[in-house]
Amino acid sequence: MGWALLLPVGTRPEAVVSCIYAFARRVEPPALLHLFPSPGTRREAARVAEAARALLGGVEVLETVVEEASLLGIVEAARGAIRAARGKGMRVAVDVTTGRKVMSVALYKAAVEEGADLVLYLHLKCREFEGLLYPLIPASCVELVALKGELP
Amino acid sequence: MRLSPRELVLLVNAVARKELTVYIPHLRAEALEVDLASWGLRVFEEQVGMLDGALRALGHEGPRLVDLLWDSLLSAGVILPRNVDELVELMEECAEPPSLRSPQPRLVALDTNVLYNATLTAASRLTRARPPLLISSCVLEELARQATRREPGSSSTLLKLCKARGAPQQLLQKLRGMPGLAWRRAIAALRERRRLASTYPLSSTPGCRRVGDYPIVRDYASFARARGCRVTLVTHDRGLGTAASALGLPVLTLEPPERRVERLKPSALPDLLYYMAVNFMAVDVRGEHGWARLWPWWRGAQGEELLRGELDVEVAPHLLPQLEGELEALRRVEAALGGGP
Repeated sequence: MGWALLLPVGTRPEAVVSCIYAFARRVEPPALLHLFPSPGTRREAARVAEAARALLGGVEVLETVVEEASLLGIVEAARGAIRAARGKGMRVAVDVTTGRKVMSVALYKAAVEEGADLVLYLHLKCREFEGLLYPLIPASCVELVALKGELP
Repeated sequence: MRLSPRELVLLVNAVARKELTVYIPHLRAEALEVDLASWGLRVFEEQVGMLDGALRALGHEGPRLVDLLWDSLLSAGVILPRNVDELVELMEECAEPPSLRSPQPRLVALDTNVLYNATLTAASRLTRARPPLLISSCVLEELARQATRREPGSSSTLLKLCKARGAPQQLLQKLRGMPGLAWRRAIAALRERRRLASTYPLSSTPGCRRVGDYPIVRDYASFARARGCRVTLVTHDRGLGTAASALGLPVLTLEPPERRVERLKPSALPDLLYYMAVNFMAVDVRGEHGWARLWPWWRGAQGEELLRGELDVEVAPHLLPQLEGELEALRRVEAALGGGP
């Protein structure tokens, strides 16, 4: 049973790719990525998708464009994505590190309401590494934290 | 395997999670120890200093190993000139556009030792100001001459000491083929110039082919006169500062840093390893998961690779497949994102 990983996409694709990297190294490489960009970050989502394929090979990438300030709209979209992944027999993780605050809050709410297996936050302990990819950050400066569920 | 300084983090993550030791393999001496949880840093100054005593007894006349150790810490920005705040102030002042009160454009001019010690890269972490920088073509000429002169890397006295301390024959053989310290440091200074060009507006003075302190000072003074701008020379050399003042060139002389450090800024670690390799010809990084050896030069090294700061890396065989895989994946991802080194 593979993992589906849901992530909001903000203006920094490196941050999203770092979350995917951390998940792949700390949990396992996800089989499905579901990205939630806003109309303003679709280009970043395309770059994330390309980088994710470069990292993970044949990962399936889905995209749902959401209005970044529409809390309930994003919650509904994320709930639908979680149910769809579950329907495929997958375990579901939601990473709320990136994107606008409303997007993170909405994905968190959807994850809790739908009972996602993991809700994750990539905690960057040393701000000086902001904008760098996960493997370029010393291990003690970054930690993948489970806000809900337990990391294997 | 070749790694740029930023990619050395991959290596550190593979080798150690708790404590990292930087070791000089041919002298069989520990130089630094980093606690990766607290980023506490221990400098083995006494141990390295004892080797200096042994080298002097053998008649060695080159730079002291202790000085090379502290030079690495300075060049990596781990320790800073005592009056670095004056440099930051100057940078902020020169970054301001000309105004009615001060209509002259202002430039920060660099002495060779500012490139050797990567002072402006270290200062760029202390302020957002990015003033225009000026490098004398005399400075560039000096570096170019050093970078084309290939003296042996290890003096006979150093090799004697290495032998006496039980360095393996294969390692000694490799040290004999290594280019000299002046060459290695010139390459590092040229790498710094390249980094500055991507961080600051950077220009050079035209056509000075002479080298030495006075030509540098005269070059900056005549540039300032010809262009009607205010050029302030930044140097670590008090003597040069005096010469500049005599010619009416404003100067900021950086004071030697305090030789004391307790903590390492995590982002300074890659450059620290780079400069340790440059200054000592080879260093080992060791941790609870294995070891790696870093060389600043290798047979067939291309100028472009060296100016990117790439190091030749030998790594414990059990770590190699994992590290190669990580590096390949990282480079693929960076290419997909359109970035990378």
